[in-house]
Amino acid sequence: MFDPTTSDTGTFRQLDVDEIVEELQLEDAALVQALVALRSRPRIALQERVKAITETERLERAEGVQEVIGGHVLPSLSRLALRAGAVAAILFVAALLLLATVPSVRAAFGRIMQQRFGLVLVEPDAFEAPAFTEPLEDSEVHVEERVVAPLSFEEVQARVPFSIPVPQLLPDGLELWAAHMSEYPASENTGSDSAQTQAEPQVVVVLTYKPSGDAAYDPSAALTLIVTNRTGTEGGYAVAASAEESVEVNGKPAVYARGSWQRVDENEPPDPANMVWDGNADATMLSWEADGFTFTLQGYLLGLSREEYIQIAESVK
Amino acid sequence: MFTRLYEEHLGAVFNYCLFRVGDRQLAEDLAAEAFEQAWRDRHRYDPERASFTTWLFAIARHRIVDRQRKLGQRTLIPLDGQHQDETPLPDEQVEQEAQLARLRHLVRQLPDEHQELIALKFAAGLTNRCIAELLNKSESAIGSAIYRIMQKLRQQWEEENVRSYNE
Repeated sequence: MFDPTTSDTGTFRQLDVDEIVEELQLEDAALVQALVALRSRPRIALQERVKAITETERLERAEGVQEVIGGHVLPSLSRLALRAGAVAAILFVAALLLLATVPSVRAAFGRIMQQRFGLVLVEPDAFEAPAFTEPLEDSEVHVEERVVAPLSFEEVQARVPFSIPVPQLLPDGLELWAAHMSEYPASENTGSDSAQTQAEPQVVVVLTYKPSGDAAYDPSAALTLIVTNRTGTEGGYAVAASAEESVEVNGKPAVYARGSWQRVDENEPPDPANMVWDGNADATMLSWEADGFTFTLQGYLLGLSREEYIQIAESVK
Repeated sequence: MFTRLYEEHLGAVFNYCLFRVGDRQLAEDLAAEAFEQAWRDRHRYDPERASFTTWLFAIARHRIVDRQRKLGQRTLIPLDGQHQDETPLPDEQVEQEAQLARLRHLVRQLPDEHQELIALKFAAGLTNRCIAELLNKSESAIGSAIYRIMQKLRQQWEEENVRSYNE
């Protein structure tokens, strides 16, 4: 089957006034000129929004590339997120910074304070100039990247060896928008202390909920549930240690963080050295473990309280 | 590849949506949704059935119809004016803006299927062949239909402009 993202489809451009006049064999171009003058340029916000989709393509091109992941942390979740551009880019454009263990990134973060379920607490004050100066550590790991393309929920469910837990409670107006999954062979299951052992592949499922067409939310608003069939996973989304709040989900410990990384200079790329933690941003992460799974619930521009996020988390079954 | 396709088609898809729904914010949402769906469904695209442009516009068209059905009406809000800042315009430009406003109004009065053709031809800038493929009609039928709409629209527009000038 033809794939328009990888095949040459020729080029497209809008017909201009002269071309339309010629094609329609009109004698008078005035009306055509006027109708064409009603065209409007797409605003930057739309351009950025659609470009975020293409971020997926850029990231998916990494398929098959041997990437060096240095150090003691092998972040299955962040590997997924780095590739699941549709999720990362659309939901959290310049809002969430994923912790990778690529040396340059880790150097920029400075100190990793603590692993808490699917989150990694970092010390934002320890930002340093990003550089490829930090030597790779001894336990350098090479990881084969895999593509995570958007699928339907049913398609994802058919591919995973467990019943995917989903929230039974959702804010009004949100509907499932896309599902992603990524699977890692048992041999790559480093950093997991769960009882699932190394027999089953490690699977990460990402369910993204977005406002339905007429819902009263910002178009960029989203709720994402990340499900990993492991506990004790290592790596994940980086949040500022100062934002950590210990809460409970169904009586079990969980970590809640409100805020997001923001660019210091909007003209610079979202490099860790160019990011600061904004505790007032309407972005939330809640992570916990239950029934052999690690869950991370992310909310963006939903205007929900901590208690409401916990309610959603407690409804995941 | 998708980056290039996006760059090539964004203006056309957005303007098509804007012509069809009249509201900029809604048009932006619809255009973005069309590209998102195209990305999700890209493996379903069959080049032997249609060009990528036709396929993408079919998605956009479907989203517009779906949204209009949800909202229970075909036309939502009149198209934005082009001059949106507070800077005074020269008289000549004022008259041009007024003529465009009259034209927008006349387009809005057309039957829905005629508005669809105008949006595809002039807002999106598609060829007759592409429109024919999209609407499952012959290229000559599309050309003739647009020609007739143009004749009628030009006559009405000229009448409106003369009437306004005399007033």
